Amino acid sequence: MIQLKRDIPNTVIHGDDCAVAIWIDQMRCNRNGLSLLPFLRYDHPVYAQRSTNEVIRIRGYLMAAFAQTGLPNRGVTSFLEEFDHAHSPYILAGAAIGLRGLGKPTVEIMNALLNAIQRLQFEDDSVCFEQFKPDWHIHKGRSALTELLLTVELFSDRLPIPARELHQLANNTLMSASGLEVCNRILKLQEEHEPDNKFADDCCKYPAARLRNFLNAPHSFSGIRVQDQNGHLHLLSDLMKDKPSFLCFFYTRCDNVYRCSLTITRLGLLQKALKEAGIAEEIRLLAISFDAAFDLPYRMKAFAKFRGFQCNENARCLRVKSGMERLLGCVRPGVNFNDGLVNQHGVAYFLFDRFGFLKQRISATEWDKETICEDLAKLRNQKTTYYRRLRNSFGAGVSIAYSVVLAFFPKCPLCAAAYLSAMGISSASLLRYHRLLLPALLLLFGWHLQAVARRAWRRNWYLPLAFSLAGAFCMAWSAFGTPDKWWTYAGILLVGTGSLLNSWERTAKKNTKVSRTASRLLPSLLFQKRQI
Amino acid sequence: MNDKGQDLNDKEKYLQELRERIAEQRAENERQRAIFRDTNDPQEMKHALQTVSSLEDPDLYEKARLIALDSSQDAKLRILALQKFRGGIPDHGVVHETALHILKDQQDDVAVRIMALDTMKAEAFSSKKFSESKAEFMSSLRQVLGDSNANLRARATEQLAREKDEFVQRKLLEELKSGVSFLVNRAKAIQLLGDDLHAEHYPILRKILQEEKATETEKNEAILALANDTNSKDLLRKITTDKSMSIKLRMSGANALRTQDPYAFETMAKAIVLDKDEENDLRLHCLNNLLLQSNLERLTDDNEGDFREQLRRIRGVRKSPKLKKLSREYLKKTQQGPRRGKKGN
Repeated sequence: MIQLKRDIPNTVIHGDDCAVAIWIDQMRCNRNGLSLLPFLRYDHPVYAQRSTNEVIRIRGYLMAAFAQTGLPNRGVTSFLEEFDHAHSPYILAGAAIGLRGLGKPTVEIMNALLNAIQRLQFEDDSVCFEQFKPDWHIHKGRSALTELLLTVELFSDRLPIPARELHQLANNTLMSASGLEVCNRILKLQEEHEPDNKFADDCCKYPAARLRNFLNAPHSFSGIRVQDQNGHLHLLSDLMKDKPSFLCFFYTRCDNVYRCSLTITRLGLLQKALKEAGIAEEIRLLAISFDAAFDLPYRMKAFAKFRGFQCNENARCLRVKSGMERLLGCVRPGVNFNDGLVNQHGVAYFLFDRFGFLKQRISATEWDKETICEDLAKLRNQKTTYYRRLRNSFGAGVSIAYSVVLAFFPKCPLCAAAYLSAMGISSASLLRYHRLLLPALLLLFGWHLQAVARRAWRRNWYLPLAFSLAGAFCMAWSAFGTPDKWWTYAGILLVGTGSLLNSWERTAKKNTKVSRTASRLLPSLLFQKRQI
Repeated sequence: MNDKGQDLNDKEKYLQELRERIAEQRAENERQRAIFRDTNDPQEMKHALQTVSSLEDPDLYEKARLIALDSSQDAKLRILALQKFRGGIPDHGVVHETALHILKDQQDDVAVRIMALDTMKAEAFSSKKFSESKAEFMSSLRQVLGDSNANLRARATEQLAREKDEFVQRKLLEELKSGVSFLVNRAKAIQLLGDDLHAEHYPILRKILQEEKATETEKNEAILALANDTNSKDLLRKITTDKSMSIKLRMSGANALRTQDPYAFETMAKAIVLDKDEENDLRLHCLNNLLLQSNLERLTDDNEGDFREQLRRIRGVRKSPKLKKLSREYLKKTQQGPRRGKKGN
């Protein structure tokens, strides 16, 4: 559940669309743009269980409201994403109107507007923002394309338009008579006034959506069952381990070609690029459907095939059989549903390392095939570190610890007595015959050291052994040297740590130079000699 | 000899005759254009426009345009003028302007306005420059939704629904909920909404299926539209297997389920085909669909062997030779033909 700002009442979020519109109008009157910002998220609860038409109306109306409230910089990324892949004239026009509330437009915004104009020219429509649900017998609409052109005109005295785009706009763009008038004014502005380039700072990109959940532990995906395009069932966590993964979302019934269709097409291009780089076998490409009920395996397969995405062992289309809510909660691709059917969604790509950690979230506007290839190659080369494994184990260990504590927590007086007596073992030295037990204890301790040392070369190298040896030394010093309880405690702690480190997941060790050197240096008692 | 008495075996003679006819036609076109240019008599102009293939002269196009816009002229003449004007003029912007002007004029003749609407529909299909006028066209169509003429309203509704217009979808939904049919009749409204799977109409359609007063046509359209609703899978299955429902609705249910989930359809269809108490038409329909999707990649093939075995021994087929024939075809296609020496049942 998204954390909501307190000033958005639940009656607005769960009320009908007119209630939302009234609230937007109130914020518009109060010039309160910050309260409108949360509504820009695709997965905001206000869009849940609403029809697509309602969602488009709310979203377009909301975006247009920023013209009066002012548009904070934080919200610009959402606008850029709409210009990149929205196809609704109403939303595009609303976004263009909303941008007029921006104090400092940049070249990035101008480029986005010009690209959107080129797309919208074939899908233009008459739009009206005078009222939330206009009565077309009364209200006069305006062409959505003209709204975009008006925003370009507004920015034209501050930002230059590259010659190529200007030529495209003037000569190769289909627009109505009113749009043509605006276009002529833009051309005149660009010719007569030299924009001062004050805001033409390309390096000032708007911040992408912040990376959240970057500490996703692998077990967040555990239990999520998926079915691939061949009908085989898997656990998503199994498909994402041991190799870096590139994840995206789609559904075959998406009617916006700039979203799901383009996503899979891009995935196909990325696949080709990875093949050319020679690392396709070491990267996993996963496309997950939002619409699991309809996207049967054969549909996903055909959808991918006709967009150039070749499915194989490392490249799969998946539909989620169970755990979809958890997946969406972990990854947050930005989607909402109405009675199981997607009513709106964004476009985002996710990079995971081979341990299942989310490393990067890429929005549609940041798509760059070469950069993503490089990032995936880096993730492929990522080495294991003890810190990372410790973090892995810690996460798992904490959950186990909770279970153990719960199981062993004394629940009755007898248990409590047993625990108290165990704690008294620390005073075992007060027992009369404890010295007779000493050889047995030493034998057991030696067995422990030998067990750790024997497999060290093949398991986790010699660090666990070092801890155990240090612990042994401390306890021996406490027993035979200077009797001091702190030496004993230190010894227990070090031996325990050595055991824990030794119990980590095995990693196959190759014949590295370090291991060969180590094997020559350390006494043969502590390791098995191997043929190198 | 063809129906004009021409000897088709003599190629040269045929070509010569063809050239002569073309020349005659050209001469006739020139004559009619001259008549159209010179006369102001409506009958003569009408005849000229009916005869001539195209106007080919900017002055004639302008005259035709003015006639189309002149509400005092005869409706048929104006319609002809609009047709010819649209057919050959290079500047389609003028065509759009003229047609939209006529369409928006609520006082104008309905037949001419319908022609103007059809002109814009044709332009939407064929003219690259249509995009320049699309916004105004959509706005005009929305205004026409409130027109007094039902035919015009229906055409405008259809065109807007094809564009998945939010306004018309909202109006259609309101009408379905209220039971009023102002734009189009209920069955048509359901059909138009069904073109857009995001149109929010599924709850209403499910309700219509429960209504007693709903006609068979309305229910049929509702069933077909529910093919896109994954929450209605059980409902579609229930409709198909309900023997009290009409065969037409049951077949539509089968089609809808097959569209949505071919695997679920397969399981149900096999049971229907093997049920000797079922309607033969439905069995035939299901078996035909199974045959069509027999090349679909299978997820599991657990029951296919049993089904083929039972299909071979199918009874009651004597009453339906078609079913028997189709069974054989199915078995052959799925690589197990009928056993020899045994009569089909």
